Amino acid sequence: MPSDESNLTNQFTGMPIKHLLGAPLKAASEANGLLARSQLQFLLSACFEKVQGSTSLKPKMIEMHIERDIVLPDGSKSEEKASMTIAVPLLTLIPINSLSVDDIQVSFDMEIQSANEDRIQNKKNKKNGRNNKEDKSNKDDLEMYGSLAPKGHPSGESDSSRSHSANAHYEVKMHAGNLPLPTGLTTVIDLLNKNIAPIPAKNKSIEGY
Amino acid sequence: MSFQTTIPCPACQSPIAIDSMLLLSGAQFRCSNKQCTTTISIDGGSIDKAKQAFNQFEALKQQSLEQAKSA
Repeated sequence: MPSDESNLTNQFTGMPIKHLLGAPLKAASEANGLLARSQLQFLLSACFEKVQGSTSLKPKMIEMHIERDIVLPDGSKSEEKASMTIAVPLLTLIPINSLSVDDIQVSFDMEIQSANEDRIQNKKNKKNGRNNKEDKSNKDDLEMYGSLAPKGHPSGESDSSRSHSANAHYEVKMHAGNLPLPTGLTTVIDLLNKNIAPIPAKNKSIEGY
Repeated sequence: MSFQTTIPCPACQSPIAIDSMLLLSGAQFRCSNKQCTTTISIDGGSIDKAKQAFNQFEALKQQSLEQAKSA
């Protein structure tokens, strides 16, 4: 009775190598796309709001209190504190990062079972009735088929020794990290940060500012 | 669940470390520059708006983790 492990190994028999290599990369690419879309959706819905009567967006602001000590002319600290209220963009309070899969390692041992050299261009030329010598852009497409090698048994060993180990080794290591934010977004955040600085009132006297 | 972030001090531009949960609870945060005595806290009227955005951010983080696991 075949074990689950041998069934699993059989599923990877006769598979083009490009699929084994490409599948994890495609999965990582799709994951990155999903993450980017989620973050963009969050930014637009949570940190921006629509301007009435327009299609443009403006940053959501929250009000914050600032307090500072007042130093009197004699150098002593006043018991009263200077306070003011400023509007801070909500975007600057949220640690937005650009999370994505930044490293993938695919590792497996494979036994090559067959190689199919398909002269695609030659076939096309034959169909079109063109001569190979006329077209120098002939490309040979070599596709290799194989199965994951049993763990711990290099190819070349006898079948009897190989049958003891049905499980194969196929390892995919992925690492997700923070990529630098896009320049456009950093510029927007910088501009919003700079706008936090209070502007002194011209006609009002504000203590401490 | 809380997260930490920094904003520039309005007075001296030094970073002010902010914890989201403490911010929502009305805590004051002091500028990291010892010479600067600025403290900052959220206005009571803005707590709900900030809380809503922070919750959405947490949901996004959870969603991203689940997507990474399923991919």
